[in-house]
Amino acid sequence: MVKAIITGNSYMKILSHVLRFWGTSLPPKDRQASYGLLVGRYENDQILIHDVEPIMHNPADDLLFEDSFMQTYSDVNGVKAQVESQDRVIGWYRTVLSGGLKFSARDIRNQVKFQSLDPNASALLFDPAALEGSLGFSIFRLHGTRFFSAMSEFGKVPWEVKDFEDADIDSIVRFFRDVTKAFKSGKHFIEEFQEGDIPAAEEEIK
Amino acid sequence: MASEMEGTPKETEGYQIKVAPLAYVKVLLASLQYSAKEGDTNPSEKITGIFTGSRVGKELKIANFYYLRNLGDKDFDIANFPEILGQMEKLQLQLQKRKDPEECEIIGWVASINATDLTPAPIHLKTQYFLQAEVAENMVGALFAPALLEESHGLAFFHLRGDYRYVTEFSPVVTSEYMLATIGDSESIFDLLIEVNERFHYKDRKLLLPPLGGM
Repeated sequence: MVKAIITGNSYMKILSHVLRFWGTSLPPKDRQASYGLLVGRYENDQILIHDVEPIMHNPADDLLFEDSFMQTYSDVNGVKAQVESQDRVIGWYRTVLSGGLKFSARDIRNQVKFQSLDPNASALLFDPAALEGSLGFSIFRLHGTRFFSAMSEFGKVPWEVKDFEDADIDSIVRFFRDVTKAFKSGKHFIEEFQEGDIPAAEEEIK
Repeated sequence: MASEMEGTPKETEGYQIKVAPLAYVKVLLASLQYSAKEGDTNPSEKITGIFTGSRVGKELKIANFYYLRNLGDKDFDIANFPEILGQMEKLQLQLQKRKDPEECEIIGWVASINATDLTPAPIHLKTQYFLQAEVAENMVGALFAPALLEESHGLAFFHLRGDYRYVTEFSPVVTSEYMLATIGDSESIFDLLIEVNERFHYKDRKLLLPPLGGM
């Protein structure tokens, strides 16, 4: 049976991206949905999520992925290929703003785009309101191996967040050091794709 | 036949200490939140707090850290903060009630220092002497030097050697080996991250980790 395994660091990144735009003390009308890509690989029957790439945020959680979003799919894969990583984009995630962890018609349309490019791709829905007592997410996938459509059946993929191991300690420490650095600089400690980039022309002016 | 004369020091070597990442990153957050600017590893304000966990013989496992006080520019001298003893007592009672075998007692204290030398100063030895003599003989002290973070975790553990009846602030100092190790569950780290995110983005942004019982 197919199972998704998520590293603790990937979970921390999703959590931080989601909570950057969703807080319990933030009025519901001000909360926004975060969108990002899942990065990893497939091994036997396992979906190994090694990393995530935060992409964007949106006032509503019913975004339909357009060309610009799908372009980031290629861009992130391009970056991975450049560093000779075996990891690739293997799915996407979004915040659920209301209604619980239900795979909506809009999610299915977005998922058709992903599974048409990669039949094994999956979608992770993250509901921060469900964080008390759970890790707050579910993973979905359309059934079948090709010709995906809005009429495709879908199902949940069982998952597991991998426990931290001694080898992860340095990255945990680095993560929290980055939090303290961001706290002092006024920056966000989780940035979206190319958010920190300065266009070449502006850099020249500086 | 082996024998032990009255007054012979019982402890001749240090403990083996394992520190959970949760406890360590809480020390980091408590201390570095007072940095003057991004990446600064010499915060002007010092902090102190308590390590909790479990112990079996010489093996200590530190599962958690409770941030107690901002010391300003002073080094930790328990005489200046007698209320910490009350906080320790309260914490110990809470731990007993919770009955978590991984976090069942106070292991020791930690204070940050503004230096690159982790040798305890006389004031730290005085504090350690007081806590070993008056609170718990097996309590350890620790110093955290943010200035050493580029090259190490910046921590050092020590205690004073001797039977509690004979320990003084001039007793020999015993240092202990330590390592960060994945004790405790991953979810405690996630819970901390949720708390920190909430304070970072939506509260007053003054502190990432406030001291127990407020400012």
